[in-house]
Amino acid sequence: MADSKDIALMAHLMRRAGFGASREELEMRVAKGYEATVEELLDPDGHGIPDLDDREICRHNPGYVFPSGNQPNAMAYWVYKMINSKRPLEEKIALFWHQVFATSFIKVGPPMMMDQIQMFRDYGFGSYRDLLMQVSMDPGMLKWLDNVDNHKDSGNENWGRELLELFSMGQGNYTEEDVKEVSRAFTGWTVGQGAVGAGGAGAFLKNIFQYIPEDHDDGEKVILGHRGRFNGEDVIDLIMKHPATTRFVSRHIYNFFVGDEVQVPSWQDVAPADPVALNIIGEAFQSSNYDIRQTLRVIFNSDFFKDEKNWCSKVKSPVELIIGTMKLVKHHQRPEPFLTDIAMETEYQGQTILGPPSVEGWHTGHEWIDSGQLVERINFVGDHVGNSRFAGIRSIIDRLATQEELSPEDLVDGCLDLVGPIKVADGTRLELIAHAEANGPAKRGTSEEEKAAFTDRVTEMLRLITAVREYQLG
Amino acid sequence: MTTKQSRGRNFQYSYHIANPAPGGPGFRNPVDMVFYENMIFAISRGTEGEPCGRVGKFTKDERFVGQFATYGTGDGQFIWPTALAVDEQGLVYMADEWLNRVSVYDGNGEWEGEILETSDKFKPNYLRHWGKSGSELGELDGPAGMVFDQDHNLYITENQNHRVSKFTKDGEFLFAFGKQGSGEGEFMNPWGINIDSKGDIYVADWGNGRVQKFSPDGSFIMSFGSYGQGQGELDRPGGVAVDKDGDVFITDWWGNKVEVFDPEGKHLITLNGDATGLSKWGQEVADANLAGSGGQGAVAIEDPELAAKIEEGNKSFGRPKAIRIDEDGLIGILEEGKSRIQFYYKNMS
Repeated sequence: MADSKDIALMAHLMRRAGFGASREELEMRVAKGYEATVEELLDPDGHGIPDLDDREICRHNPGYVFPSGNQPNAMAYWVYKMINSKRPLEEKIALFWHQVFATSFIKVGPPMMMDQIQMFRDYGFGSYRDLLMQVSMDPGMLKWLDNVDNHKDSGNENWGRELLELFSMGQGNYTEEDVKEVSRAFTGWTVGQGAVGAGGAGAFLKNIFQYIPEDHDDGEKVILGHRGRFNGEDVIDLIMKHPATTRFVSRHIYNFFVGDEVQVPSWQDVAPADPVALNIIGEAFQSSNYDIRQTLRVIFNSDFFKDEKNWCSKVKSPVELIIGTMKLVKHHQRPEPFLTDIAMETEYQGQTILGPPSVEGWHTGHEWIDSGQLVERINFVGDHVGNSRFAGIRSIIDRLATQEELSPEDLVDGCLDLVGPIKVADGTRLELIAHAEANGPAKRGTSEEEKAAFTDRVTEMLRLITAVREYQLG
Repeated sequence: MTTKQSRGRNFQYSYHIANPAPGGPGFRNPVDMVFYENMIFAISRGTEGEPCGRVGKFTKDERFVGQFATYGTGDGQFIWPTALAVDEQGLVYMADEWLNRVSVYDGNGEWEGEILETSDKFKPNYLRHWGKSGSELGELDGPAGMVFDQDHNLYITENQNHRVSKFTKDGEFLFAFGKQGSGEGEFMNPWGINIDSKGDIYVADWGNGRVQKFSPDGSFIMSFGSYGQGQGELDRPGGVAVDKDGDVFITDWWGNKVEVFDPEGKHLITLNGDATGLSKWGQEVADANLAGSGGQGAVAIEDPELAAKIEEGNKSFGRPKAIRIDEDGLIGILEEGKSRIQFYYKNMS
């Protein structure tokens, strides 16, 4: 039997480095060990963890894999992978980079968004320099930030500006002149058509990166104090050498994986929440030559990450809440219809995946929740944890039913343990116990009627628990 | 006309029917079709969130007769339609792998392009359905392929039960064979199924990358192909058909090709698709768009290299799923990914 503290720590890791895990998975991972789990999450290829099979998804939901212009289908494809991938950190890191390099299907369409998310899966763990290069060549990004309109004789500064402001250094670390010169360096970086798709798609044309030398401004430029006939790749190298980039990227990583920060536009004015942790992250980033895998390895194994005060301390994003609930109740564990309904729930809760509100991405932390969103979140989770037909809920009921009778305290504590474990405020726990006491002890019974009554007691308590403040935190 | 040869056989591309339409003439993610006299019935599975799934009825020379069945769980509706079969009376049987049932419709008649809404009281052609979810014998889990034998009984592949079950056309269970596995007579998520003139059964063993042949009582005879991406190999076969010479045609669904084997299992040829130009339906859509755009039409592709790539790309199969051969030897290949049927003939030289 795994130690409850080990389970709680593993649950914390799986919420941050994934989207939560069932109790069965937590026990399996505790048996494997914390560090070993971190390594498996960071390097699924090296541990022989296969990706999900697109053929299996496509056979049943062809629109998910090849959505054309159907946005909910493209969203459902990613939701399916987030729920079911045995490589959860790969999906989580893709979500992280999607938040940082916020691009929307509204302008570029679902297929290019799906390609961009796949690029995040492929390059998201590697060097940030390489990732920036991939983003700079990503057809979706080139269209989204108008670099396709950035020509030698008529520039467009949208990409150049956001590269510096939102993707690498942050405001206050560059000049307007730098923006102009960076934009010049990226002239000729555009989108063409030519690649022929394969693997179930048949042959077809798709958007690909194209460099047109004749459209590139090859003149001398001055960027971040350096002079030369810079091209786009040179700009990426100059950006990586600037200390602001390490600070900026480290704070993004902290905000996503460790603790809520103020919103990005305030970073130049408001000090980091945990400067010591941020320094450790920055040092790992720098010393590893901007390697994201190594940086995350340092974080997940650090004392500040494991510290109990950080457990259930971040507001869950809608995606974390929704996917975590799907994993808890074990719904959509194989291709089924109607997953688009779950995908659209991200929109109803304020985080339309593949469709962020602007290039700035979503505002995070407490801004995920207002009174309307809170009701939506609680109703969504309550509808699912209250459904005893789901295998995950049945499993919770079966575990609790190993005891013939549960006192109100046992019922509350058992449910708190199995949905997290999560620790609620003393007052909240007492209120939950008081509610349970109204119906006395919960008896598992032997008749169908008694078993149904026990099921109702458990699912009612699960609904109450998932409506409390602490369940909204991850 | 494109002709390819292999060991005394000429494979000649003839024509195609295409139009990726959400309703009416055309298809949207079509997964099965069946020939009946001069008619074709084809299921469009549709796309979640778009009400474009239906069974279309049309002639082989592209005259649209009408459509029936809609998305939903009511009588005559479907969620995940997979397979079609037509009995000797012209009744159409449609399997649904989510609702685990077989629905029966009257496929007869000239409908003059009408849409028969089976959920509506207007001209319903829905007759009945049968089937019970489960894994016990006589129950269904994921009915995926369906074919009538000469005695008017139905063989049904079951994706989730990894077996083939035989029923009367009224749903009375007769027997089943196969189980999950990769050995002879075992299946991994079987899909399409067909029958030859002797009554032997051919099953597209999707997950194992092969087609297995069985006697009418379910005894294993032989298999065709093996898993892989090369010529003669199969990456998730979807459908199978056998012509009068016993040659076996297999749609390599994920591999975007059709593999043909002789009756002894020797690989004959790989077909990659040959469709060029617009079909009649496609031309009608193009003409309508041209008229609607004030004569401007689509923008011409000036880059000859790009134009050639597009031309070549259009030819190739896109997730070919179902394959049927009529009594005249016309071979129809239904492409899920390109909402199209390409037709071929085979001649012996």
